[in-house]
Amino acid sequence: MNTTDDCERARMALMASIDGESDAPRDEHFSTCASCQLWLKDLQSMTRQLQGLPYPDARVDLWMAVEGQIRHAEERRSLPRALWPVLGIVFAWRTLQLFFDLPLPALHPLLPLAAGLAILWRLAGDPLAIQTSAPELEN
Amino acid sequence: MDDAAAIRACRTGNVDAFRHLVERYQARAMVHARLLTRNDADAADATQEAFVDAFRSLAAFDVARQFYPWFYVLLRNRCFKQRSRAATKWESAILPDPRIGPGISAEHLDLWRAIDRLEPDAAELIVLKHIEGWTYAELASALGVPRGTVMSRLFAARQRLSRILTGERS
Repeated sequence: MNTTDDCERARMALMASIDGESDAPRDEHFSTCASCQLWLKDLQSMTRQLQGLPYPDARVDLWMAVEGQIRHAEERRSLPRALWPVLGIVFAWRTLQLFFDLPLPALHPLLPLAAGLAILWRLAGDPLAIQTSAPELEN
Repeated sequence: MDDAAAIRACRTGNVDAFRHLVERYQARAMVHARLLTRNDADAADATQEAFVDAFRSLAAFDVARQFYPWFYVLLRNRCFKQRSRAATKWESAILPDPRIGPGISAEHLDLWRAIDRLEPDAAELIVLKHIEGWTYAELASALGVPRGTVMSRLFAARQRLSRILTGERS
C-alpha cells in the first residue's frame, strides 16, 4: 500500500497521541485509510513489546576504575590547594612590609627550588617507583 | 541511600558515596554506550570517563532533577569522542554475549537483536523513548535538537524497527 503526505501527517499526529504528547487527532483520513490503520496496529504492538523491556546483563563493574581515576585527580588537585594558605601568608606578610618595618623572613636561597621539585615530584608521580603490575594483563 | 543523598555526600568530598551512583547506573549506561559506539571496549571507556566527568561536575547538578538524564548527556559526549577516533572497530555489540538469564527471555533477546540492527541514532531514540520512557522534551534536551526533529527521527526509527520485526516474524 502506498503512503501519501496525508498518511505521513496522520501518522505523526497519531504517534504523538500514543506517546501522550498530544490529544487524539481528529483526522478523517485515518478512518478511511487501511494502510494507516495497519500502521497504527503495528505501532501499538511494538510499543507493547518494548514497554518494560529489561536491559541485558552488562556484566560490568566499573567502580574500581572510576574510583581510581577520581582519587588520582583529587590527589593532583589537593597539593596546589594546600599551597594557597602558604601563599596567602607570604602575600599578607609582604603587604604588611609596605606599611610596617617588618623583618624579611630568612629563607634559604635553595628553598624555592626544593619546593618546585617537590611539587613536580608529586604531580608527575615518583620516577623511581618500581612498577609491580602489568596494566595490559590486568585488563 | 537515594541519589540526592549520595550526590550531597559526594559534594562534601565523599568519593565512596559516588559508588552508589556508579553501581546503580553502570549496567544501563553500558548498554546505552554500546548502542552509540557499537564497540565493547569503547563503551566501557566512554562509560568510565563519563562517570568521572559526572563526579567532577556534580557541583553544577541540580538535585531536584533526576541524575540519569543529566548523566546521559555526559555519556553521549564521551561516546561521540570515542566514536570519532579513527582506530575504533565497528561491531554490533549491544549484546556481546547474549544469554537468556533471570528476567531476560528469548523474546527479549530477539527485540534487542532487532534494536541492534538499527543505526546508532535510531536505536538510541527507540531505547530512550520506549524503555526509559522519556518525553519529547527530555529527548530534545538530551540530544540537543528541536522537538520536531525528535518526532521525525523517532517516526523513522519506529518505521525501521517495525520493518525489522515484521521481517523477522515472516
